[in-house]
Order: sequence, then structure tokens, then C-alpha cells
Amino acid sequence: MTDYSADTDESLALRSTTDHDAFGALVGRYEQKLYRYVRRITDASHEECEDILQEIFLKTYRYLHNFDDSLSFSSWIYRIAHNETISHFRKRSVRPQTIREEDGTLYLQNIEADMDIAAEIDTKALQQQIQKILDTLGPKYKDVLLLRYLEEKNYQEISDILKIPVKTVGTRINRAKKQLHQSITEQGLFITP
Amino acid sequence: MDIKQKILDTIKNEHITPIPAWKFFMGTYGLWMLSGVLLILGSFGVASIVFLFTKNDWDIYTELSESKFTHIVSTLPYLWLAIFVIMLILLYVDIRHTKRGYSYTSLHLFFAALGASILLGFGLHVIGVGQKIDTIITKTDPHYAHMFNPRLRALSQPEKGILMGKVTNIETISSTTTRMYVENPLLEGTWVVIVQPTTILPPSGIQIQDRIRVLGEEIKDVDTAEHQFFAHIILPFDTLGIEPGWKRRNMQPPPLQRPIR
Repeated sequence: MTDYSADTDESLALRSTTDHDAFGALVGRYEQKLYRYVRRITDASHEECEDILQEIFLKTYRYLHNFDDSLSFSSWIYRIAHNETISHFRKRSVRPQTIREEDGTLYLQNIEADMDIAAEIDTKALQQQIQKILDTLGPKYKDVLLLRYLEEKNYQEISDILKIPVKTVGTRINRAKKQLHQSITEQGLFITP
Repeated sequence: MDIKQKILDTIKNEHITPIPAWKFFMGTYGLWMLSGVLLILGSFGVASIVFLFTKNDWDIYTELSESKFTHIVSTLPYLWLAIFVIMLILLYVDIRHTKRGYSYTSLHLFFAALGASILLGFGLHVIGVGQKIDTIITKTDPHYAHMFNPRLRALSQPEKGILMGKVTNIETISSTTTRMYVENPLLEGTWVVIVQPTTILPPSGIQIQDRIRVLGEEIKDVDTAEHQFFAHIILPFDTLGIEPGWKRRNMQPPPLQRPIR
């Protein structure tokens, strides 16, 4: 069995067109990350997430020659994951999006840190309130927030994943934060100046 | 079975292979080639608009319209404008679908497409493409050429004292009267233009097959079936439109300057 640990994702992607094991190594690297991502952007069950994940990797394999090496492989495969998940749920009229219990803490910690929300107030209550507010945001705002604060992607990566200009990523994040800020203030939750 | 093995087995059992690179290559370069074609077509529109604008009868616009503004509005080549706008929109959409097309903001992309079309259009106009397109359309389909060049309709209003057309014959009737037969694709029949010594002629004279513009008045003669038009001023059709000196100096039209050859 070849050891691919020293290879970058990009070089593995190039080798994968002729080397199944190299592709297997890529699947190994992204299996968990993408499973988590699919779970985060949908309310799909474990089995459904696995089906989607399989579709994602098979599509990645078919489209290996379309990999644009000016992008990072991570952004490219996340883009495929995002699009495949969307098209999987297109059969339903809406893509259900709720923040899962297990993600809540990390998500909210990152948002709170970014928005300077005071730490001294009741964190649990605040998190519940923020979670409720986040659930009311539109999918285009939720998608960028999720990639920024849960997947911890930078603006350029989000731009490449969602295929929108970097400037639009910034605008959406700022608008989402503004909405969040407004709702928090209206509900009497304290935010540091 | 873990998902990794499941995927590798599916690839193996279903003989799944990566889509050949040339298909993506064709898609990528096909989109850029289409962008190039759309840019050129849009630029043809710009070149035609610029050409038609420069030849828009600026020397006689006061005879055609009430003001410069109404003249511009009534003779704007709307069909070319529509073609240009459609090509611009398609170009925008096409570039948006290229590999990195998403990374440009809508405003940047739109102005880049607009700027490139206008720049190339001006370039094509300078090398004479606008004129060439107009000539081809006029020759290919004279009856519909006015749709691309509204000037042709504006110049085909004998009841308002303006006529244009191609000279098909010249007859000298007497020492003071010459009859010119003019064909206008937008008007019925042949028009007889009456030329007298007081008629101002183009400095280069008039030849058969020349296209001319005539300012004058329609003669309503019930005794003849001929369409007659009395010429005060005959101007070449293709002109940059410099206002004639006599008009600039607010003088009366000069007498016959040069005999018709």
C-alpha cells in the first residue's frame, strides 16, 4: 500500500486519474469533513448523508480532469459537495437547514468572538437566542456563515466554493452579522461597544 | 463496509472513469470562443452605430427635424442598439459561466464587457467596418436597409421636401432643365428630379449610379403619372456632413456651380 501522507491534495487529485489508491487517499482525507458539511447544510439522516457523500465522491472522480489547479482542491471538492447536496434536495421544495445541537457551541463561539458579544452574560441563554435568530436567516446568508464560522474557510475559499465574488461574501457576512446584531440588541442581549 | 471502500468498489465494478480532459477543454475554450464571437458581434453594432451617427445628415438636420435632439432620437439606429445590447447581455452571461467568471462582481463584469465592446467597436469603425456593414446591408436588401439605418427613411419624405436615391439616368431637356431619374427602394416608382440652373450641385458633379440627397419640393402634377421633385440642393449621399459654406454664412444658395457630367 502506497503511503500518500506527504502528497498534497492537489498532487493526489492529479494522480487519481490513473491511480485508484491515490483517489482512495483523497476520499480518506475528506470523508469526515464532507460528511459533517453535508450534515450541517441539511437535516438529512445518517444514511441519506452517506448516499450524498457517495454521490459527491463519484462526481469528484468523474470530474477529476476538470479540477482547476488555480483553486485549492479543498475549495473544489467543497463546491461539488455543496452543489450535489443542493441538487439532491432540489427534489424537495426546500433545503431544510437548522443548526444541529452538536454544532451549536462551536458556531456560536466563533460568531460571538467575531461580534464581541459580552462573555459575562448567561452564555447558554444567549446561545439559544442566537441559534433561534440564525435559524431565521435566509439560506444565502446561512451558507456563508456556516462556511465561515463552522468550516472556518476564508473569504476567498468561500467565494470559490459558492461561486460568488469575494466582495459578495463579505457583504453577505456583514449583512448577516448586522441582522444578528440588531436582533440581539432588540432582544435586550448585551453586546460590547 | 466503510464508505471509502464502497466508493472504490463502485468505481471498479461500474467501470467508472474520469470524463476525458478534452471535453472540459472544449467546454472551457468553447465558452471563451463564444465570448470572442459575442464581443465581435456587439462591436459590429457599435461600429455601425458610430458610422451611422457620423453620417447622420448633420448638414441638413434642420430640414429633417425640429431640433438636433429630435433628429438624434428619430434617426437612432434602434435595431443596431438592440443587437448591441443583446450581445452585451449574452457576453456578460457567457463570461459569468467561464471557470473564473464568478469571481468578478456584476458591475465590474458589465463595465468590462461594455468597455471592451465600445473600444473594439470604435477600432472597427476606424478601419471602415461600420461603413462596410452598411454597404453590404444596403446592397443585399435595400427594401429593409432602413431598419438598420433609419436615416434612409428620414431622407425618403418627398412630401416634406427631402428625397434620396440612386441616379439611374440623366436627361438634358434644355439648356436650363435637366431631368434625373432616381430610384428609392422605400418609395414607389421612379422619381424624376428636375434640375435647373439655380440648383446647387455637389462640387464633384453627379454621375449615373451615384446616390444623392435632394432638398426641394414635390411637384403635384395631375397630368402625369410621374413622381416629380423639383431640386433646390443636391448633396452627395455619403458625406461627413460638413455644413455648406453658403449656409454657414447665411447666404442665398449660389447659382449652378458645375454642369452635370
